[in-house]
Amino acid sequence: MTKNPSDEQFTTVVIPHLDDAYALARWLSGNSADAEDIVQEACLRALRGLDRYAGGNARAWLLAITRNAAFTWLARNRSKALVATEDIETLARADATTPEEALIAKAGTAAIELAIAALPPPFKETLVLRDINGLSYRDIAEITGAPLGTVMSRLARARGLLMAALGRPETE
Amino acid sequence: MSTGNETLLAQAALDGELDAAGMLDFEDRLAANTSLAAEYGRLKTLREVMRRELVKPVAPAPLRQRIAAMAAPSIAPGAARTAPPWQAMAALAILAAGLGSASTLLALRPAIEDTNLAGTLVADHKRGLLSGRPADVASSDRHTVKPWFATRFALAPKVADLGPQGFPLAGGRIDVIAGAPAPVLLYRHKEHFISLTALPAQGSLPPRAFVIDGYSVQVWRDGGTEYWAISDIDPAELASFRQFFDAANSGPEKNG
Repeated sequence: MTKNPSDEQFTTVVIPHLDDAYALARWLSGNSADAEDIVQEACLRALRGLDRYAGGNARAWLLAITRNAAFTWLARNRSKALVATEDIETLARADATTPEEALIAKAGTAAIELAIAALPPPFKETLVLRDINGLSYRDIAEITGAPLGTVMSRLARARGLLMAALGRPETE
Repeated sequence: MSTGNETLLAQAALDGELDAAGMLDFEDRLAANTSLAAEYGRLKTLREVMRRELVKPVAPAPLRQRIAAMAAPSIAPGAARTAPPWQAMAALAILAAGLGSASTLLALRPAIEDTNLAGTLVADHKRGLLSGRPADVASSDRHTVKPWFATRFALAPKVADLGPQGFPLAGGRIDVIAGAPAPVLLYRHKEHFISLTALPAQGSLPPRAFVIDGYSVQVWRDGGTEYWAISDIDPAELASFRQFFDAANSGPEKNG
């Protein structure tokens, strides 16, 4: 009936980063009820795997587990959402016209959320880890298991798609 | 138009991933390349818009509580208790039995079994409260609770509503005690819950009351049934609950 050391560790390692885990799960799954299931599953995995946590960046560790739990969950419940996307190292770019920038600046919450939700999974998770969770490229590379260059190109691609979606006049 | 490599550099510059030398080099490129400068401008706008419009989701409080409970399933929120080890209590019981009677060995076994069983029942009581769903069937109406049990047990437990006496019925659930399902009635007293478990009586033992892990326990018999009442209310209040329950069930049970 007493707390054991791994419970103490769980409290100091996992609990502080719950919001980050929830934010990532929320964006990857697209709704809050699924996000709760994913986070709960991720925390169970974290609790069981605490002895494998070797110290270091606890947030990146928990987010890596959350990401894996999210993909397991999505594969089981929504296999259609997980169409593999090739990493395109040669980047398609939007034309450099200035009205586009003005349109982007006017985008509202709903339009941005819609545009992010429409991103292919690898681009979406990279963008969320960077712009919502605020992680460094190095952490993102570690979490996703992708090389740094791939992280950078995915991020560029994600932002390119967002800018194209938000900068299109007919989307409003 | 910028090359792919310059697009990557623009991301890194935006995200603060370039060192000072890299940033200087990038600024030189920006000055020389208008399309790169335009792209960088759009990227900065996109980031500003995202920061302005997007709120980072926050984990809901119930989720937070469920996860905190994973680490410490034995600690009730806001009511951490220091649990006296059961072994020590059993040792006390041995001592008391040894002092009080010559039949030490006979008294010893029930004391240990009581302690183990009480530990299980207290744990079930706490688990029910922690899960936020202490009852499988939540109802203050005994005409709902009794039939619910009747469909699950050959012999449904006696269900009395003690609302007028200050102990309204809150529902019922089924716990597994020593490998067998057992009916548990749930009563409310002010802000507290009482779990009342009905077990088949074995042997003959007098009524008894004790406190374990901060919880009051009352054990008594009625015919072939042994009742275990567990709650965090005062032992005296739990004793009066027992009296009300006995009184309501004495004589033939009222129909319906």
